[in-house]
Amino acid sequence: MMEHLRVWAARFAALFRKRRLEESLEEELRSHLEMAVELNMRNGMSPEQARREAFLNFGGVAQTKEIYREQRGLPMIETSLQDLRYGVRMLAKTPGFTAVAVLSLALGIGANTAIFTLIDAVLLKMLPVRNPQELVLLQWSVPSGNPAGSHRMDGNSWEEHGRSLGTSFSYPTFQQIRARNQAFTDVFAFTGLGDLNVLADGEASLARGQTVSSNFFSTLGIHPITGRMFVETDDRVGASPVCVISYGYWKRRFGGDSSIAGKAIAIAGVPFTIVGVTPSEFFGVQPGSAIDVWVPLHTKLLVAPASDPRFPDFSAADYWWVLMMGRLKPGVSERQATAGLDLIFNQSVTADVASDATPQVGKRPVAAALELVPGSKGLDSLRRQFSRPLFILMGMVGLVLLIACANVANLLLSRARSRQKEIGVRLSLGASRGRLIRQLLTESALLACLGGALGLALAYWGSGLLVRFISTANNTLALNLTPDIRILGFTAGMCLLTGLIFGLAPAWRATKVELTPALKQNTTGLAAGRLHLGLAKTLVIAQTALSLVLLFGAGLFVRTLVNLKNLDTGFDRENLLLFGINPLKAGYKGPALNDFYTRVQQRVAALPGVVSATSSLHLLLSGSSRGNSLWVPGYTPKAGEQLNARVMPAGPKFFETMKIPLLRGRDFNEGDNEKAPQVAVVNETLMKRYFGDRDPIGQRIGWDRAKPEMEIVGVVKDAKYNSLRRDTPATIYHPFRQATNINWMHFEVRTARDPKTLIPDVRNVVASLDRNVPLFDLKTQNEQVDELLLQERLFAKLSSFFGLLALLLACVGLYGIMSYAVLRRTGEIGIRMALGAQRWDILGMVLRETLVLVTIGVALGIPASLMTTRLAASVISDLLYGLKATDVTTVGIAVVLLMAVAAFAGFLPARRASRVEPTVALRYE
Amino acid sequence: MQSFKAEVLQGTLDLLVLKTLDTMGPMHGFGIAQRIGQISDDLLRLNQGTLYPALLRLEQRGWIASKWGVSENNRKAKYYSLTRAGRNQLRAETAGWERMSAVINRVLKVTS
Repeated sequence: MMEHLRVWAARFAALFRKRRLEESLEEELRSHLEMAVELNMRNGMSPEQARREAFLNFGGVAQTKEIYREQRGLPMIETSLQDLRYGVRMLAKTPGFTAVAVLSLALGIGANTAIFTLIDAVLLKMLPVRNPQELVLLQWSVPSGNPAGSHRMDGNSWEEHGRSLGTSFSYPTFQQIRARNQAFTDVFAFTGLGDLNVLADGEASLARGQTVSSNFFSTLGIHPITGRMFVETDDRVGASPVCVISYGYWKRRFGGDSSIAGKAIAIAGVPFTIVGVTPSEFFGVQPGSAIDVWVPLHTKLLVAPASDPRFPDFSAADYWWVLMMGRLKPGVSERQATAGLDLIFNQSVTADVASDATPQVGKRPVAAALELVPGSKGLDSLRRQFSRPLFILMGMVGLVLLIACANVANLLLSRARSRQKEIGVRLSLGASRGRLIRQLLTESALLACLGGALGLALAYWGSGLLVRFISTANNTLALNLTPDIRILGFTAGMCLLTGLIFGLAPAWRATKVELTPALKQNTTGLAAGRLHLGLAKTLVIAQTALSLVLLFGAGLFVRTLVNLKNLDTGFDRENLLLFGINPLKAGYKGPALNDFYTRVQQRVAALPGVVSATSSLHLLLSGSSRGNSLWVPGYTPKAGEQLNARVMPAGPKFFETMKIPLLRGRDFNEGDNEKAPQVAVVNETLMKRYFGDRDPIGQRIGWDRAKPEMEIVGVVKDAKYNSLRRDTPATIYHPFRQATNINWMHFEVRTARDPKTLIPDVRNVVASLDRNVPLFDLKTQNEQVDELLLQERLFAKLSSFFGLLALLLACVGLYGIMSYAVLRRTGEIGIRMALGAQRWDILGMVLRETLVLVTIGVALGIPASLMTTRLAASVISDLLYGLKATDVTTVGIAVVLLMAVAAFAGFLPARRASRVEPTVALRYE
Repeated sequence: MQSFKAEVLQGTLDLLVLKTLDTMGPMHGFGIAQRIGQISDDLLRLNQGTLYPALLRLEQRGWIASKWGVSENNRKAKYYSLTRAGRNQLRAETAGWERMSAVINRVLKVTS
């Protein structure tokens, strides 16, 4: 073994001392021969004879040297280097060809790498913490509905595969699990606080906050770059409030102040002390959302007071709000851990179910089962949101790459044709076919690597662009896009694969040369190449079919977006400025809170350039909504029917400002306050569903049977609430001063001019009333719709880009092959013209050939497109809106577009053919 | 006895070179070729050129070492000498060779 290693090391070292070793060999052999000659002469031979005898005894000198060289170095590597040098020379000789090929590949590989970079960041990257693979996230599951023992739930819960899942637990459950578990080295609790109002150096601004148990950082293994992290005593009622800030926030807000530890700031009006800063790579445990400020769990009572005193945050077992992550002890499997944890969890819950005083009527809640999910990549909401779109995009760019490969293969084929003579010579001089294929493959690998390197650069730039694109103004995605070993490996693999795909067939073809004709042939002869053109045409047809698939997909996505954007929302989206405020975070409570909202609305409405202003709890088309069960006297529910409606607490002039047409009755006004009788406005859907033919005006409705307290004072036309795709829900509009739990407020401002120009005025109004009240969601209604349609826009824009890219690549391929065909047939065209063919006939002939290719491609592409989109739509619902996955119009548009562009690509060579001078052509060979 | 000339077998050449260097001390390539010819009374036909790849092979394995020097006729020449590893190898190969030839001899005696 050692001996082999020695031999290889010696051989490898020899690669770098080639010239010296070569001289040494030369000298040694010369010395040998001279000694032999000398000896022979001493033995009485003539100089002539002595020389002959010496060479005879030695054997072939050149042969010996060759054997010696093979023994000395690594011939495989040496010939590869030789091939590489030769390849570089060949590529440099044809810069046009090289540029087109490299650019095609760079676009293809770049697009793939960019999407893969996102997949890597969203789906594959581990948290930058100590041994992330030991981390698990705790999760409960029930067959449906809410788990037993949870009266109020804050945090994530969702439906999946017919089960309800969630990740929040009560604080007592956390305490029990932390104290009694056998599976974890430690387990910590945390929950998001949303945006916190931070006052530092006399300036208020919002920061993304998270509240965590004191062992959060120690369990994750995060060490401060300055100051300290939390200790056990920080997380107690009455402890002096401290916080830890992120590296990014430290740099951004405090200019990286090195004496930051000990600095006093105010969070939500409460004095806090900054004790430490986390390392730069740590962003929290949720990819895509970077936390600025961490505070101990118990300070939640200070910065985000319980809005409902019936649910004490820390002692109630029926208020589920903390998330938990644990670090498994080495050697403990998730399965082993789950059993023990489930027991503790259910004991902590059943203790509470027994004291359940008000069991829900109807569905009896089911006890939940505890599950562990891998936490190495952090929380997975981003993964749930983006994994399917990313895979669709990955499929699209995969097709683009295939088209690019076909292009390069075609280029290589036509080049191989012009190199037939060279290859013929080399074969006849004794080069083996394998050796030549290797040489040609080296060239294509070189092309692929150049394309890959350029593609990597494109991808780095492109993925950043993509992230900015899927981030919205109010929700910046903080993703780590630095190329890691996985991305580099992906790109390298991509280069290797593409190099083989587009290189192998041309290389195989090129070396299958009949020697005699090839040597005699001049490059434009008629005999050879028929078959080769067949392969090239097949490639062009495949390209056309594939680009039709992409164009069709793009068409579907674009039309979906257009359908959604042009949808009648029931209110006027133009000239509408929106913003939200959160005075609760500046200490306002109860009636003072409502007064503040009213004052803001009145002051904004009085601004010059403002037509009218109103307010509502949620913005329309923001994805958020409030819902409630409903009691309608006089309406008999069908068996099992539960009455419910979406509720929108709103301010005066809501319908006037939003331009939602009133069918009957009146708008809200200043008089609809706490002291006035409760009123409501309902929409058409609600009226039709629960009142039928009856006139709802003057009727009473309520939230429960006990007291139908609201009187209906108006009916409005349907307007979309939280979603564009879903039908308008039965909706109740309700004056916000008569509603409960209005913890923040949004405002809608109808403007006479560009709403963006009013942003500074609006800021001034709020600041002049109270500069501690933070503003958020400042945007126009159209921007809000764009945010809602984020995924649709992403699909529409990217698929159009990739579709057009595919079309461009396919047309370059088409242009290339037709140009080549025209060139080969110059002689034939000359004969035709000499025999009386008109220029138009020639133009028509070439164009016809182009269109035959394209038509075959389209004929294959249409069924392929329909199958692909049907498959995609069946896997992912909600991909399209307002049209089917097999939409005929879209197919038509895609086909016409493809044909038109292809005809143009074919027209150029056709025109060249028609301009052939017969006299020149006939002499042309 | 009929005169014959045999081609030198590949592995055998290595053994011959090692043995030559063992008995004669450091030598240059031409000297080794001469010596092998003399010892075998020119019965072994050695294409002298094939000696050099063999020397390289042995050197790569660490069994011999080489150094440029000056020959008896004042000519620059590369001298090869046996290393310790080479000596061990020679011992092992000699033993192997003897066992092998003994076996072959015995087989030949039985069948004749």
